Amino acid sequence: MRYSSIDLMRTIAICVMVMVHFGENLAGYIPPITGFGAPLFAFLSGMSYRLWVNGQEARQRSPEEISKVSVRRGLFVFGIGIAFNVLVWLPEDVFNWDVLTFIGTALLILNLVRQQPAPLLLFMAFLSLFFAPVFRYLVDYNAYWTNNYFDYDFTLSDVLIGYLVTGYFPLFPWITYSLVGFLLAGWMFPPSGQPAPNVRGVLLSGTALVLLSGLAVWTHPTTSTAMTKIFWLGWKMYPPTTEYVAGTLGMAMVLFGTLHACVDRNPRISENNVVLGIAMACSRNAFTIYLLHHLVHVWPMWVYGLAMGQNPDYYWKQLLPASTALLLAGLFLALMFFILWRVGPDRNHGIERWMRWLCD
Amino acid sequence: MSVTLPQSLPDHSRITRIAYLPVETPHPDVIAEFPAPVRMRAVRLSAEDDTYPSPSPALRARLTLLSIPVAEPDERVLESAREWVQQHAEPDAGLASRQPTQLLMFHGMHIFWGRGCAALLAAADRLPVAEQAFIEAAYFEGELYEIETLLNHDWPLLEQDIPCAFDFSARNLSRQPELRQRFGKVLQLQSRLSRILPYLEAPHAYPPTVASQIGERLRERMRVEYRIEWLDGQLEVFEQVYELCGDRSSNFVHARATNALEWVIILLLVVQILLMLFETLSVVEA
Repeated sequence: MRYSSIDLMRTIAICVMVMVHFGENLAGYIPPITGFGAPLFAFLSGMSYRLWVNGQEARQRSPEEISKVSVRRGLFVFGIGIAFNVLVWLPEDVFNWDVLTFIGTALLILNLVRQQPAPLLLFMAFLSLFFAPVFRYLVDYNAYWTNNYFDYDFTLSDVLIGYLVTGYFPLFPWITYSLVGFLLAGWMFPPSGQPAPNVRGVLLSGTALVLLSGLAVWTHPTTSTAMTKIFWLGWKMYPPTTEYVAGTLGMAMVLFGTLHACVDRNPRISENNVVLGIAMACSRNAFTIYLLHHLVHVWPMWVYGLAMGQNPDYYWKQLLPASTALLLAGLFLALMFFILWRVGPDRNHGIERWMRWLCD
Repeated sequence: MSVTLPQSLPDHSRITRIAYLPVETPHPDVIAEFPAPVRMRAVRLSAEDDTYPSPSPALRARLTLLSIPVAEPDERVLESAREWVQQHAEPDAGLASRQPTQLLMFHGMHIFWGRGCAALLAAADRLPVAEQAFIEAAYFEGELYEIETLLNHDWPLLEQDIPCAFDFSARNLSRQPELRQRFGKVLQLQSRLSRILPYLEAPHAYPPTVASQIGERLRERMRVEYRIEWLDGQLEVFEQVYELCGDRSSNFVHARATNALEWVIILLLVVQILLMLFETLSVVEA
């Protein structure tokens, strides 16, 4: 069963990512919404996986079959992530551990733990959140980051550490989002025949996380102590600090709770609503849109650099003014929405279709 | 439906409405008492018992008895009694129509019998004994019938629950309370059956009396012996399935708790290994 709240959230995440990536890569401009798209994406990976598992179980597919498809899907997303790094960010950035490789790993981990009791998953999410700063401190996170970009050597230890702790989207603490999303979907979307719980709990927990995060950011101490060196680093996406993870996780929960209450459980909203139709189409093709938006703005930039007799990345962040970059992002989104509206929400296209063909 | 006395019956004919209550429930008009392990009593309902709101749902007439004091009934009386029973008998569970009225005849007595009602025709001096014996026999047969009916309703549920007897998963956890409830119900039915067995399977009394013969004839006519055997077999199937469901579910819950604890240990070990790994890597690189 599809839930419009999930489709809307994924559409929001895609829009945020498109705006941020166009602004940053073409103009070096960091929009204020930066850092809000990826957490939503990671959170939704867990929620969608839970809903997918529910659907498979309702169709009486055996746990073994579900595991096989999950592993194939996880490896597919991971493989596409590696290919994407090579083709879009060029071969030297193959192991920068972008969001796709993380989501592929998250699917594999969720498959491994999907039958475990909820408290255990919560414990795992907590461990990931709690130990990520300790791991970062131990490996000296800042040594891997030059000019705010992940810079690693092609050694096994750097690649491994990047994957686990220091990359763009390392397993720790990003797996926290997927685990919480998985747990929350299991709770909010029980198998058919059972009553769905009230959204108040989700809204309250999300608000509490946002408030705690805000309090931690607000009281961020200036003195350097062991606590501030490891755990209390303020609001940062790189590294994803505890405050950032808790805050964005809380925001994702509040957004989900609100949309679930206002859209999914609202009998006045028509099934033929145009916005929801576009959101559904966008959500069903989010993977393709994610890849496509990189291709349409990064590849021309590389080609232009080469054509001008420079390095491919010579014009990175300085090709266009911010306003033009954002206008292009808006045009790209408008074109995507128009195409999706034309093709309709009922079918998968692009990478999603390949994934189903290959993995299901 | 109001129960009225048919016209043109001999004088002193009467209708008695009987309810069966636990011995602890007080009632002013007790007709018969069934000792342990049954511990029930038959009471005669009066018009006051029908006043709304009813003081207890147990005060519902389970048997309506038409007693006709007549030594040698003519055809007209017999026909009236048969019609009355046919008219007031309840349909059997699961059947839209009423079963045909049963007739027992012996020692000059006539008993027309349908589900929930009967007409007794006997000489005035034998009538109280016949009534007493019939009320007792009807109670035990009624209990057996009720157990059969309750069990018959549960076959679709049993079939639905059979997979849980082999394999129990997290998906079935939410069904645990209803499985427990069904298992409890089966045990309860078994207990009810075993409490009435001493009467239903009692050997014929010697020397025979009118009262004992009424019970014996009714038991024969209602095929009680076979029904008990079938019911016992059916209850055994239910018990087996729900016992297995109980075993599987408690094993699953236990294994899940142990598994979770093992996972916690594994996770802590993984964290410990990662801490050591990162520490070692940072020392080597430094």
